[in-house]
Amino acid sequence: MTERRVVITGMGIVSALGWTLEETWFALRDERSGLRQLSLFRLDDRPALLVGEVKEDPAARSGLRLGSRTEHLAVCAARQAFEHAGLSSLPLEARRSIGVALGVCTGGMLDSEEYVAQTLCEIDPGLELLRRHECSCATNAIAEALSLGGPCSTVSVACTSGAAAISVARDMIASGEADMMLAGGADSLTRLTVCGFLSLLVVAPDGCKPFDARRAGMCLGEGAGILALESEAHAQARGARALARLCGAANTCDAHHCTAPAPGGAGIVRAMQTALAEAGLSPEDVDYVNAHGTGTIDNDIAEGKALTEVFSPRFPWISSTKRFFGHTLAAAGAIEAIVAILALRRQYVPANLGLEVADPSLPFTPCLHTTPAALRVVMSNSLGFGGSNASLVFSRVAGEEKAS
Amino acid sequence: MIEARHLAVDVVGVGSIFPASAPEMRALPQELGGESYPTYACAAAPGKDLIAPGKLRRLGRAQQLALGATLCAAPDGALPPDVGERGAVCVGTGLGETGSTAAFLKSVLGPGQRFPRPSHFINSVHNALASEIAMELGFKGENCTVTHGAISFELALRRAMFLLLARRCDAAVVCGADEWTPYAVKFGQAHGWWRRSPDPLAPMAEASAQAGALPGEGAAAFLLARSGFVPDPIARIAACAARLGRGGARETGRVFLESLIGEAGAQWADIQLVVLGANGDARTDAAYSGVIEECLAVAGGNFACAVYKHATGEFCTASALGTALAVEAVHTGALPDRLRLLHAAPAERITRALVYHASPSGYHGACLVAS
Amino acid sequence: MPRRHGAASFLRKGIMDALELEVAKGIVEALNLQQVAPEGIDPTAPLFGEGLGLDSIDALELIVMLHRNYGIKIADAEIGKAAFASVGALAAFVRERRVT
Repeated sequence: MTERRVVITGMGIVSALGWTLEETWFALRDERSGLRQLSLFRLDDRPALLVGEVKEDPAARSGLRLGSRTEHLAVCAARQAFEHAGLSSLPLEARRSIGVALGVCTGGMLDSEEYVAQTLCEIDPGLELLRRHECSCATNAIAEALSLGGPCSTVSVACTSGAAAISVARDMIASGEADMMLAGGADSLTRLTVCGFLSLLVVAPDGCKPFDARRAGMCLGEGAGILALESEAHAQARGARALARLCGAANTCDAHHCTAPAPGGAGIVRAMQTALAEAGLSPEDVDYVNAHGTGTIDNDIAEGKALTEVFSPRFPWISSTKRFFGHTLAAAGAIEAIVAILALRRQYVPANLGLEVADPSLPFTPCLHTTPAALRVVMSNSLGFGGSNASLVFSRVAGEEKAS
Repeated sequence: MIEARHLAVDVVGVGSIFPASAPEMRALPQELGGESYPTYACAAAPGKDLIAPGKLRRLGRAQQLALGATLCAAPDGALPPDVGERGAVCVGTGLGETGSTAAFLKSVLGPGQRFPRPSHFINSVHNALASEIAMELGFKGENCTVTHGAISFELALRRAMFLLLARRCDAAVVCGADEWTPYAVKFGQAHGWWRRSPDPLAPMAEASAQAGALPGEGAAAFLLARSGFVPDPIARIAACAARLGRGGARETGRVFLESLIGEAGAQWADIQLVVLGANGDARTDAAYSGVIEECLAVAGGNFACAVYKHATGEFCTASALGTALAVEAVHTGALPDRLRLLHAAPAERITRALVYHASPSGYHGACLVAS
Repeated sequence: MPRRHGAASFLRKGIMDALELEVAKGIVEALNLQQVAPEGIDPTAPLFGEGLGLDSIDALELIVMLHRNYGIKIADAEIGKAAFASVGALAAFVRERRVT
């Protein structure tokens, strides 16, 4: 099976930091967190929570008449990526071979919860609230909004969903099944996920402090991140500018516990090593790692050990950007891939926001402030419930010097 | 006939959990209207005789179905030991663990004191099925869960086939599983899938003129390996495809099936059995009839047709059970009991079976199984 | 009169008082331990690691059980760990902290 090289030609992002790549970049550069008090819904008997809530109603911006919040977020980001890739004027026949691979956890849950809440109060809400429940509605909404006719798939692998979808899309292009794919992840805040993580006693109401000595847990967020992926030859043929190359992608499973990571982060170690091997690179070649870094006690211990095993003694720049966005679940792997590519394009390492005193057990110190740096290869990692791990490696495209 | 054997994967084992053979009435809770629905139901704890009690106590029903079917598919000794990092798990599920999700939401959203249970939340992620399978078998390669409606199972199978053929893994478990819950029923009702009469499903039966089908539940799991990794596989999967019909007018079933057969380097003449996902709904039954008529006209008519949803009910991943029956057919050469023939029996021993289903929203899914 | 510690502790082991039995029933119900008889659990035996072999998720479930059955609120999983050493330890914890 011949494999074709895959590049990124467009990106789209919606999150607590804003509605565009530019807004996202400025917030990262200026170290401005997007966390605010949760306002999307009320939770009785719960503490006030800082979350990465999207500031305006995505339904007003998606161009969709109907759909769940997740669908609106997904389509907003997809439209951006499509346009960024220079595809907006692509004729319909050419769109038939463009597919969509999306990672989604919550799908239409925000509306389904409303249905459950009303029935429990003896109201019959009618069935309309349930219609858009499935995760695949967001994938199909993107395909329909942009008239795409290529292969579509929806993956749901908890916090690694976005990265997993990017892997799937990469493989479809590399194997020739598609020339172009939109890939990434989307999730809205829901009562299910907020109350769910609260019930696990892993939420920090004041927001996360990844890798900090006094970290107290994670914080949630929402959003969507979409990459336009393409074979390098296809991009060159249509004169599209490649933003970066996806040179390695790996997915593993700890097979250890339903929530706790394997001791020492063995699964993410293997994912990093496999992704690097695929890219023909070694750890010394990596200049920056965007860590999963949720800020829970357990994740940061395991991930810290994993990063040590792979990179010690010469550590690259490392930061977790979860205090900017919150943990956006299925969107995280994609949003953070975009952060890593922005770092590559702008030659800046984004801050590990929230870090005051690094955990003394870590043999590395995450990047405290957004810092200019020479970056040629970056990595983005995700770890999820159920023990899934994903590692994506991006490199600069040769000859491309200017940022965009 | 030159078959593209290098594109096939071996089936080392298959396991399945079917619902009861006749529909039963199940009452929805009061807050959902309290009505009763006929449904094809599995046991209350479908994993009970298959899964150790220490593990069973924490599993939701969809997890029990998936893990139970996997344990039937992967008995000890089927694979070399220490597949470990070279083992992948690909699960397709339409709705995942709706039971656990609903239980958690009720405790969070219901009036009065609320005591949400962490294990309900942990089980509510779609990949809770795949992660249990991985833990049971120690499979540490890719762990993927596809949730894409009616083609969830086929897309999961395609992912596994890709991983095997690309040598990213040596063995893979592919599983399709969905559970019946009151919320799953309401979801189906929102899409107009169900009828209320309790008569068993009679797919493609001439006398039947019903609109709608009946819900079901179940799971099937396949232990797959790269060609030659394990001696004496029980069958091969030669090709699998699933998509929204392509083209200006929606791609017809026949065109879709022919592209699949062509991909496997096979021809209609090689296929003795076509297994259809018809469910007794008059409109979709008619659509299947149309597809089969076209295929028979082209093929010169030498395959038998059979249906299976009278034994499974309708749910997103029912085609996994249909595929399991097709594997049994090519493995034994004869028709398994749960497959119901539509007309004449196959003229010769079954060595190739084509499993096909199409949904009203335009999805096709198909799989070519070979001995 | 010397206190007969040895005899008292010999009698104590394996026999539950009413609260310990109630707590044991709560554990069995919360953790869905269908095959375990509450009265058969040794109140001094460890619950986690060995003994019943419970894990971190079970600890969270027990925290919910304590809230539901006794009005005790625990916000930190670490506090739970000490309290859940055994049925006896948990019963003592309940006796001390119960609200309902």
